Amino acid sequence: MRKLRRFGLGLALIFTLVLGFASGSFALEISTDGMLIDDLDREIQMTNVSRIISLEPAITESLYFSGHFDKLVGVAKAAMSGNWPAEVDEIESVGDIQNVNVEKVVDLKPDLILGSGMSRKGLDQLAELGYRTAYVDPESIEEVIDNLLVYGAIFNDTQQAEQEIAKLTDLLEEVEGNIEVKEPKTAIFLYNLKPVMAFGDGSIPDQVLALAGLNNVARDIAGNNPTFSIEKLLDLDPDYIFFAMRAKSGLEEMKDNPLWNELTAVKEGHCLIPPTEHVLRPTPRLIYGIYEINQSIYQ
Amino acid sequence: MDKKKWLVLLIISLLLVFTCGYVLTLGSVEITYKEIGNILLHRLGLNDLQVSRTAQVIIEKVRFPRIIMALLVGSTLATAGVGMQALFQNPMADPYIIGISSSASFGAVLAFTLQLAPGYYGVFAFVLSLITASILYMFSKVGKKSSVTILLLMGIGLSALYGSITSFMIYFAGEDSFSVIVWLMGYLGDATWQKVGLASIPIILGILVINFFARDLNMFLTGEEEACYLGVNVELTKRIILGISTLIVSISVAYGGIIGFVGLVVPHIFRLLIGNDHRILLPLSSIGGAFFLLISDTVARTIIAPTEIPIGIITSATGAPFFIYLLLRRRRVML
Repeated sequence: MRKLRRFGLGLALIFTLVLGFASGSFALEISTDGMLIDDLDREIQMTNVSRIISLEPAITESLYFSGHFDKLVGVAKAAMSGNWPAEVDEIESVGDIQNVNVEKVVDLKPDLILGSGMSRKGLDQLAELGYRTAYVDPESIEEVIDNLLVYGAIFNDTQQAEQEIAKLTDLLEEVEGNIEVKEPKTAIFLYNLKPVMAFGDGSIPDQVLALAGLNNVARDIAGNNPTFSIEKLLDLDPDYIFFAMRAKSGLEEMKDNPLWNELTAVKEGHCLIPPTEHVLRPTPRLIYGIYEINQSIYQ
Repeated sequence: MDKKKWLVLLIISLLLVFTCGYVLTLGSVEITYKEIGNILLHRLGLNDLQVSRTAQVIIEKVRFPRIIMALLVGSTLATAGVGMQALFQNPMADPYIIGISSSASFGAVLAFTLQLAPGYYGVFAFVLSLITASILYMFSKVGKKSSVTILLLMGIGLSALYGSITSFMIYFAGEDSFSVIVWLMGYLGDATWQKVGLASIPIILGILVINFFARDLNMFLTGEEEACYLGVNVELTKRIILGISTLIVSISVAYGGIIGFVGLVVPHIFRLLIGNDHRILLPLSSIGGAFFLLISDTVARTIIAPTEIPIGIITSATGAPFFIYLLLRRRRVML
């Protein structure tokens, strides 16, 4: 059994390494000669870009923050979580993130199409049709904020992006000041219950927890977003439990399995269900999510 | 019946008990035999509890019920597998054959689409399996007899129909459809004593009843008509075996999702090893299935602990090579 386990660990390690290399990390930027370099390190010509389609709600929101929402002629919407801002409803829909309607996109004659992980299939299909496409998949909250300037630069107007960044930085500073004087708490962020799955090291929710001043206890578990046994959860016993996606029914689920009542966070009523888009979606709204979490726990 | 076979049965049973004790110590949190002994003695009121509350909860409320659930589900699948294979006189029959896997998936995905809590996946799966089985059975009657061929073909037809609706719902489920998909891959991790209690009585009774029909199933091997001449009440036997198998398999689906391979291959492994006499094949498969699923679940939860692997992957990955090996060695004495 021990041998088996060692083999398993080795396997997990190899996977982590391979994934680590495969995903790489390129940040979105504008090169000196005015080309957009996307997160797959591809160079995209940026001349005459005035009609944009966003296949990802996160990108749509970021364009709003950078002040270039009016360049959007089409958006793909999230099927499960909310779409923001309300003005999104006035923009032509090109399907949802996972099922992009290619004909609709063609019909809107975009100059540039922006997409990410879940809309990758549609994005690649459109690239093959000859459209200018860019893959935007920020891996850190810092990148999310930096991207506002990139969007600004595409249209040679970074004024609003700079103002927004200043606001967001102020919020983060307030949060930091709040953390310094408090004893740090532990937390876990579950996104599925059967089996128990949590956001692990480096994920966006993990960064949200860290910035809000919480230590994510799922960090030490192998895998990016690990599935683990409930016994491990009992062992980790975090101060706070966050629920997202399908784990939103967590409070109801607890009645089904009384084991949950053994957890400190449940006993003390420290279970939180923040809005998906404030903790999962890589947009500047994460900062507001961080602020709210920080306020509700350390105030 | 020669004594050697019963000896094998006894040895496997003993081995199973010791294995249960051993796997109780395995898991992502380290707990020693000494601590487990202490917890057991404390339960019996013989000494004071010296271990942490967490260790006590993990042993009593996580690992113990999970192990029992694995035994129940494994035993159910293997026993029902033997029954179905004999009844349909078809080595390809598995416990999910009469539309159970597709109706269970349909039920779970329906609960998911209706935005119900994961606790309902099993309930829906259970109810839909039973409904499907009743429909199939009702319509497979030709005159007074039920036709096995029509039953199988109707099962295939209904499965295809369910499959298309299920795919449709998953396609439009959006970003978190993985949630129901991982549940469907099989999961024993949320077993509680309450669930074990609910599942155990019908499952144990059902397995015993099927075992009781071993002699009749032996005669089925020669064909339905011949079985009838040999004094078997074919219609009644068919009805009982089918009804009970469907019921207990549906219960196992409700608590463990769909775990492939166990019901198909455990019976075949024993058939290859000891032959086709159901009087020994049935009890051996009942215990062997429990054993197989216990080992698989233990591997699933410990091999890269604390991360877990869906149990369906383990059952196929460990069982298939062994099965192929046996087949290659014994292909001359097949069925």
